[in-house]
Amino acid sequence: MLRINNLTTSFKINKKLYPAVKDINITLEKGETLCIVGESGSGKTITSLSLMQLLPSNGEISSGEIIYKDQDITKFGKKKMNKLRGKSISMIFQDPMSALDPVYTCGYQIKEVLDFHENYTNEEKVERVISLLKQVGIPHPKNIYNAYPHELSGGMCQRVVIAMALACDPDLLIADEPTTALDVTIQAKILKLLNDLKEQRNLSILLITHDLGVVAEMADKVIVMYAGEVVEVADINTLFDHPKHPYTKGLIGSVASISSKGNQLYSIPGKVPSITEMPKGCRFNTRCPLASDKCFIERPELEFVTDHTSQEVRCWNVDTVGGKQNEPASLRNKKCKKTLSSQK
Amino acid sequence: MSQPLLEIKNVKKHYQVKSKNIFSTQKNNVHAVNDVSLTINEGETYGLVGESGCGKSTLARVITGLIKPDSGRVFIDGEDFLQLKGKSLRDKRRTVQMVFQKPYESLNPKMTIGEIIRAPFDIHNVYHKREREEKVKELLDLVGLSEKYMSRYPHEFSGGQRQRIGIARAIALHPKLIICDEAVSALDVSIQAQVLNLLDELQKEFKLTYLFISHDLSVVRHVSDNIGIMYLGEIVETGDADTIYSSPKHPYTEALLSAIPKAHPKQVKTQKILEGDLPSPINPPEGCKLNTRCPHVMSICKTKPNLESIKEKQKVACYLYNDQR
Repeated sequence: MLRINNLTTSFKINKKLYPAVKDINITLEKGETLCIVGESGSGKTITSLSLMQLLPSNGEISSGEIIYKDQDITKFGKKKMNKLRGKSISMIFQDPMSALDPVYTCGYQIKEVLDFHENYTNEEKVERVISLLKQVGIPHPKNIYNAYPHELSGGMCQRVVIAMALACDPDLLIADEPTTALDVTIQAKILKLLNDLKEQRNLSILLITHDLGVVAEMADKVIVMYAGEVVEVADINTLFDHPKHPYTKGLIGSVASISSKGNQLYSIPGKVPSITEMPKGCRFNTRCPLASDKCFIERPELEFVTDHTSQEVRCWNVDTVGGKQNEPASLRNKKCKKTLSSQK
Repeated sequence: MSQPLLEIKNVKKHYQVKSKNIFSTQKNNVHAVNDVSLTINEGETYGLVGESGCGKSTLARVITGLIKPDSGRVFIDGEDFLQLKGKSLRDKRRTVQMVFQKPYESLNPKMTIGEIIRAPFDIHNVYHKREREEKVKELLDLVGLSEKYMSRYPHEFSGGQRQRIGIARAIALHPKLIICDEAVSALDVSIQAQVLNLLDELQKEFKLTYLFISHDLSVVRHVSDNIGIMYLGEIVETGDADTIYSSPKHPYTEALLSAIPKAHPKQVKTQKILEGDLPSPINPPEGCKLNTRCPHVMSICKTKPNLESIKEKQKVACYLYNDQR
């Protein structure tokens, strides 16, 4: 349903263009949940904003295409895009409190979407809004219709935002860190709601998060991003059972586990490089425990892993189809495990 | 077992807020912390967990002496902290330091890193002026930052580095107790792991005691020896971390633990979702605070249950386990 081909989005900083995301390829089928994971600054949000064409004024899509239902939406004009946005593709933002306008009632804000896209009479619209509020699990929807955002808790606001996103029966829902600002108990409720909605409506969800727990709950397929590049693509079980890229391994290793009290967590040294100072070669080379000379010179390509057909990885140290290697993979994997465990 | 370093007894703090009606003179009380008692032994890490608005941060501020409680007592090293005045209070404050939640807001943007870390020395007038610079360098080295950063300003650093600076400032005066109020919540997982490891190393080196406040249950599990679960200003369950995580007793603890996202997609878990939202702390329910949402609610829950031991290392405030009926 959605295919993004070689998307590059650049930002103009001091009259120079810097690519914030580079050569992104994403495919999303109907009824599927795709998670994009990565730390802050890895280009997750920029990818979703490019998709909605809501980039800030100094950003632009410099190459690539976004094919949605067989049409390249990067070539759409403003008017056509406005018709698509909120109707067929809609988005849930990170902070529910700031995503709602404080001077309008919640009901009015949801109705606004219907005003823009649908030809209903006013009564029909109000009825639809109330049924939407009921669907997202809000008690007393009639009272909430006339409530202002500041009167509601964070979890309730996020439900209103979800109701707004669902107002016109979209086919694709982009959720940018939908539960980051919420408490765990509320997070569990919102994730359950999204999963239920997905099943009822056969929605496709593009979920952006930095929380691997959320990924484990929600995803069918996962894309791991680092410094504006996709470093690993895999289905959910493969990713958790056999992560290949050293960054993915590091991410999974650094999550504190609740099943036991650990001593030392594995941590990735350093931090994500800034957009103006990207290292040459593999972008992870400054923090990678396996980095060799080659990693500092040549940029690896995203290629299929030899032993898992559904997994793609961007690393010189993993056996890939078409990748040129000097060492046998078994040896390298051992090395990787050794370095990881010695740091633990 | 080691000595209790911090003892809190029946601390209560209510905030006054004006009523919604602007013409009304009626004032409402926000019950931020209600009758909380806890003990932290020397050298241990006590994790305090709860949702936002349950009074965790207010409690932290009461312990550091940043706000005065309405009633109750705080003992640090056996001395009543709230009764101290003047020089003895100032000296006592050196034993309790705090690492704040937001690394972006807790450092003064107009001061260099060197000045920020030296500030505790200047305020408490320890070390000779010439020595202070050396000490700042030592501290930076301890938290894993280069000494050449001394003349830089906070905006030049990333979140993880700023949190390290905050930690350096907190350990400057060799405190005994450090309160980490959501110290790693604003950080990415890989950076979070770095900071948690640093805190662990410092604890071993200086025999520090931590009060670790967080809403992230996995992080609390990772660091804590003992934990306390707070709900609407009260501690509902407390005890040994292993015991509570393996067999939670209070219905709220059960719900909270089951809400943690699973660590692996194949993991099977049953979710116990509580109905409704957190009630407002302005008019909290009578008796057990959970009685509006609890699946096991009984008629006796209209009266307040006491925190009672059910096992050697576990205390619960719930009538399901207490024989007060």
